Amino acid sequence: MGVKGLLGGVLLVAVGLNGQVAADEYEQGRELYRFYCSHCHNPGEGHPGTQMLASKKGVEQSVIREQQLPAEYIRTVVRRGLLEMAPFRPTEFNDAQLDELIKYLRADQP
Amino acid sequence: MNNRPLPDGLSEADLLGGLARMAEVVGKKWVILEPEAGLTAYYDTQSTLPISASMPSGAVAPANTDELQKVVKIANEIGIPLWTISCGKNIGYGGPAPRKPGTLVLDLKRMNRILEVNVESAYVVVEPGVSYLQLYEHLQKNNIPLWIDCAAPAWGSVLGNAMERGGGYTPYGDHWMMQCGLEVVLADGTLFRTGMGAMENSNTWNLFKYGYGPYIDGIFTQSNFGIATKMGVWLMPEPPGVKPYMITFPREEDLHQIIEIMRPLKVPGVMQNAAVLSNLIWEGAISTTRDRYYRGDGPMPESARQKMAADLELGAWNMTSSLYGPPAVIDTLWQVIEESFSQVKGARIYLADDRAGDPGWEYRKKLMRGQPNMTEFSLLNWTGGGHVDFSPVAPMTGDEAMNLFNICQSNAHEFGFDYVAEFFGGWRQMVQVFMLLFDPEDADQRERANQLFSVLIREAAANGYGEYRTNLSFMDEVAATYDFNDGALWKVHQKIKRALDPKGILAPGKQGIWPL
Ligand SMILES: Cc1cc2nc3c(=O)[nH]c(=O)nc-3n(C[C@H](O)[C@H](O)[C@H](O)COP(=O)(O)OP(=O)(O)OC[C@H]3O[C@@H](n4cnc5c(N)ncnc54)[C@H](O)[C@@H]3O)c2cc1C
Repeated sequence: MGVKGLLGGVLLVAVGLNGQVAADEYEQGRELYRFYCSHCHNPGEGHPGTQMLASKKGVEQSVIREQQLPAEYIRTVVRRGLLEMAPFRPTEFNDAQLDELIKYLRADQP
Repeated sequence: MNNRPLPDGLSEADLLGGLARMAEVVGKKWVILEPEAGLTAYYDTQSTLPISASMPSGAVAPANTDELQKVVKIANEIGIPLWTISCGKNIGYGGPAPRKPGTLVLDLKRMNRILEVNVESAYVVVEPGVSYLQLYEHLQKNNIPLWIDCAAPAWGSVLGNAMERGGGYTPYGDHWMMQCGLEVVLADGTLFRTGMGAMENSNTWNLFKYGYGPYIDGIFTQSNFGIATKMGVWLMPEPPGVKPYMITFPREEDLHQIIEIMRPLKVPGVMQNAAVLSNLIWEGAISTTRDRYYRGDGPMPESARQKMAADLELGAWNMTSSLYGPPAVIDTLWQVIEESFSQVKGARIYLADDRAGDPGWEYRKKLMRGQPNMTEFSLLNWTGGGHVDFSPVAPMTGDEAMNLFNICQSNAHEFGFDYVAEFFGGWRQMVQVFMLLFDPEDADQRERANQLFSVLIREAAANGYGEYRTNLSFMDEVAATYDFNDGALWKVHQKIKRALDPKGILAPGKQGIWPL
């Protein structure tokens, strides 16, 4: 395994014995976050959501994934939008998927 | 419930009766009627007018063409107007909201299949709900060496943006030009294919645009004559080399010389993709915020702008473009480009690895390779999210550029707003996108922005500039500026409308075309 095993650590956890992706508790939420949210809300420059939150609330509170925001708050912002953030419709992700997204957003950081 | 705006001539019972029948087709949860069920996500919160000015009565979301046809037939029978959206991210022009309150949004986001990827001939066939990001990831995952061309926001629709005749940043950036083959559903539910697709067993639907007989694809763009359900889109094969470059120019009045240099490079194709020339605040807003330089009301003063330009190593104008092809071709073309723009005094050239860590340059480089991202939304942070885009077209000459720039900047300043804009050098024309940014929570700013926009439409028209696209709130005003021979073209549009959609159920008011 050696070096490859170390580098591939995260991958090895997620991939089951027969090569299938094992469903972990946050998988769906993580994927929704990656596809729909991360481009604006990941840490670092070039992410408009993070930039906005940094200017309103300070850098420490600028990354939504680290904030454990209240579930109702996330739900409202997602469906109504906030400032420059346009809302997401149920046809993009439905309420059940939104619950998964919220679960992931509120989970402790790995 | 009681606040629901209704379509003209329909009672709430009529509407709900029709929606109940639609629910039998699409499933109950795909008829969205209540704010708590997600209808709020169909509102336009960023315009100069209140939400009520474009509030839909509800939304319906078919999963496939068959369901769509059934929904349209029900709507036509009862007289329920439908506003078609694909990904619904037409932000700056109205988002997913309809022109007229009470219109039912026909949301095609669930129709999101990539139907064909043809590697050999480099095209895809997509449904309306396919976003740039989705298509990009599909090609990447499958190691397909084709590039997409995306608009700046990753979540936009490949089909929807082309229907608006939007643009991107690779040599395939004129999205409607790269469209080939359309499937359309009309207001009575009729389904047909354009071009070669009109032949039952055609094998060139997505290879040859024009077919046989009248070429009608274009009349379905920026219109309300039909609903596109499938589109062929040409993709650019990954080129053997790419050389993105950025050139900054120090003074506002350099605009004249820059455009005079640009035209003879654009017309014969020495510059291969859009030559994007953004002003200081546009480029700077990606990496900084307004309050770092100015906390007062009104436009940012010259001194603050100078400071920002120095800190961020930006010019009054900043051009980003790229070369593509075999390295030898790139080298040859680059010599011409470098020599030409270096004539502008104080021009500074930056290549791929320069400007490390500048998010503005990073996202430009991505867009010029068709890699979707969301970075440009940072611009909207400048004032808090409210914005409408003013997008007039002008001849690509120095005089016209200066004139258009002066009209927009002086009016913007007079009304108390920053001038935040980008010139897109096309083939012979250029489009200036002035992002009129305002604080949507501030009623006075909203009102001033609304007035400013109308002033700009009028002054631009008086100078011969018409908008290529506009926000919901200004569709009639812009249509009225297309006034040759007493508005003859819009009368033709009305005739086509009457023939294809006699009950006027599709997108009433889109681009100033109304049912009779
Ligand atoms: C920061 C920022 C940057 C932007 N950059 C760009 C850019 O680089 N280039 C650009 O072009 N735009 C840009 N825009 C404008 C806009 O966001 C994009 O054009 C976006 O792609 C439009 O949304 P959409 O693709 O989801 O289309 P939709 O909202 O789905 O559709 C747009 C319109 O097209 C028509 N339409 C859609 N689907 C159909 C259909 N199936 N049949 C018939 N008519 C249909 C409807 O009138 C609809 O309102 C930008 C906006 C912002 C805020």
